[in-house]
Amino acid sequence: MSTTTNQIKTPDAPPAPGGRPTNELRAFAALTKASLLGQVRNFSTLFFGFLFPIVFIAIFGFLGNAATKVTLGVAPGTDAQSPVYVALAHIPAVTLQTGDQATLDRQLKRGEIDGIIYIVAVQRPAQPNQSSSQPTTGYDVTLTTSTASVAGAATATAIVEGVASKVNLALAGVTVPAVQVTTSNTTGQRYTYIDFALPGQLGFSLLSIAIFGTAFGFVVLKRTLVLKRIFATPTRPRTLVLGQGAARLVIATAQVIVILLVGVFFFSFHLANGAVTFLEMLALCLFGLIVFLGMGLIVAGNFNNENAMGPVINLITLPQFLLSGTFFSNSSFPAWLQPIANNLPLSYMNVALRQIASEGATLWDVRNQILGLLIWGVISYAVAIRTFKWE
Amino acid sequence: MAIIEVRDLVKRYGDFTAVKGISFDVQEGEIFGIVGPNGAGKTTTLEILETLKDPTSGSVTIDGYNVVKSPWQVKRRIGVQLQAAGFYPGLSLRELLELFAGLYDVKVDPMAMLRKVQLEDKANARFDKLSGGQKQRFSIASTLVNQPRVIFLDEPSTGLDPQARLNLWELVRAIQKDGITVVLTTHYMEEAEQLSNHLAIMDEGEIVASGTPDSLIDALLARGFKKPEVVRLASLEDVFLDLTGKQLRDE
Repeated sequence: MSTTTNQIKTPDAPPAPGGRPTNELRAFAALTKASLLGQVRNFSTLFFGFLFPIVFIAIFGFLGNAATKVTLGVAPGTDAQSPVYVALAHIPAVTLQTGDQATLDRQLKRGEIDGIIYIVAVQRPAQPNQSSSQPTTGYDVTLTTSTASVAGAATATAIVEGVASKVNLALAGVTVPAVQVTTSNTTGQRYTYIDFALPGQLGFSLLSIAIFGTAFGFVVLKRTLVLKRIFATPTRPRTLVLGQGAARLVIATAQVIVILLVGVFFFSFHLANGAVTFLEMLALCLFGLIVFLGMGLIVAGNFNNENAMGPVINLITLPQFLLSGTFFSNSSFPAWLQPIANNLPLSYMNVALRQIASEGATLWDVRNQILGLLIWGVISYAVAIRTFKWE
Repeated sequence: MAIIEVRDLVKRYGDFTAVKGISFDVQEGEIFGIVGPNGAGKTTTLEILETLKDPTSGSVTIDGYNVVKSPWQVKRRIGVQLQAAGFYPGLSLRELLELFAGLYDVKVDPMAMLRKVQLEDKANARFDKLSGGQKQRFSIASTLVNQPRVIFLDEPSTGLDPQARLNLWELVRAIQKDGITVVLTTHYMEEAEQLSNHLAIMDEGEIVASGTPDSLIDALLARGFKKPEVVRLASLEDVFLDLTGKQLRDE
């Protein structure tokens, strides 16, 4: 046993008793780089951050552009020369489909077609009020619809009745009908569903990457003792958290830019004020991400295995997914639900993003939403700091 | 000259006392072994020395710095290999060493470090893809990034085949030759005997014996101990190594 008098102090030792941790900037840069490389090489980042939202946007893009169409089966024996048939064939929204009776019946029952039409010419006896006493050529139109396609049946009936009326008037020689309908279509800014859906996808993908990414990322580092190993180096825990956050901000920036560009160039997403709107959306997204990262840290700090964490993550993300206007507007919710739904962090985010994108609102105009997000952020980080466990 | 001084170290978890007032010194430049059954308190002791856990009472001084009062000074002077620890996911060996260089704020030549542990050709491989022996060698390389005065190895040879274990011993001896003090825990008495200059035997949170391997054996014999059978001049391990060679197989 040696004595305690032989203490070794190296000459470069600073006088401060606790010493100093390592150069935090260098450690921060190293940890940011490690986290970035780890994320870029992880397939789930690519999938959930980029592909998943783009697939959703693509689906909504096509949904939004599809006009209402009616498909009618043409029963065998139908008089294709009849004015009714010719008129129907000229309506762009109507697709006529021929086939044998059995096939058409089957398709109708399945709702694959909206109705079956059968048109046959008939001789009608002279009407008492007509000038000529000769029998005239008329048409019997039979439209069969099905409960398999209620909306389709209604549209098909309306179209066929409309066509029949027109043909009746023409056959009766009426060129100036008593009732005339003029329809006009306002073609202002042509907003489609994509203009509603894309901001929602943007908000939701940021929420999921922040919460899933942070929570799973940290728990893996805990479980594999990587965190412990890092704490045996002169690096502060906060440097690690900041490095992770910085890496997620970089990934999120790329994500927002890609999603917006895909939306603008492939699905005619409207940016009210072009590049300014783009930058404002980007700034709001990054702010929102920082808020959402706080929620991810709450989960990350309180779990040390992935299985127990999954349900809690769903508990945080799923209600927001459904109630924050990601897919449909909150205004259709019952009155008691609206105050809850409208104050969720993702709701603030989605509302603000839509106002900026569609109405050309500035960040100052959406300050109430930003304040709402800020409050959620302060609460999240306060809880995360108080409850975080490193092991 | 003692580089590590442990005095009356106690670690309690609620009602359970994992370490019950142990004291020992580790001399500069030696290999110090801590052996003992599972649950003896080896890992807890090591984690207190590594600044990862605070002791309930007692003191630990490493290279002149108290681990509780000057943790940052201690962290700079030690290298740590944790039992069964992984590394940052998704990074290559070279990138991992660069990460550690950043964490310690030092400059390293990753390739030279990898060459030292015969992993130069694995520079771009991920840690997960390495064999057991390669993982342990890389873990040890990662403890050397900050040119530490002391490294701590927690069961470095667990799960390795005999060739990989021999190779690891050579690596540990080479590190000792460079003037670095090594503290290691092990379940293998042969390893403790082969490697350690001094060792402590722990059981139920106490050091039940300490000294050089020879002095411990001599003390046992002095108490009149006799093996029931005469030791043969070779062991099964000697047979195995004679037949399969001493070269590493895991590459």
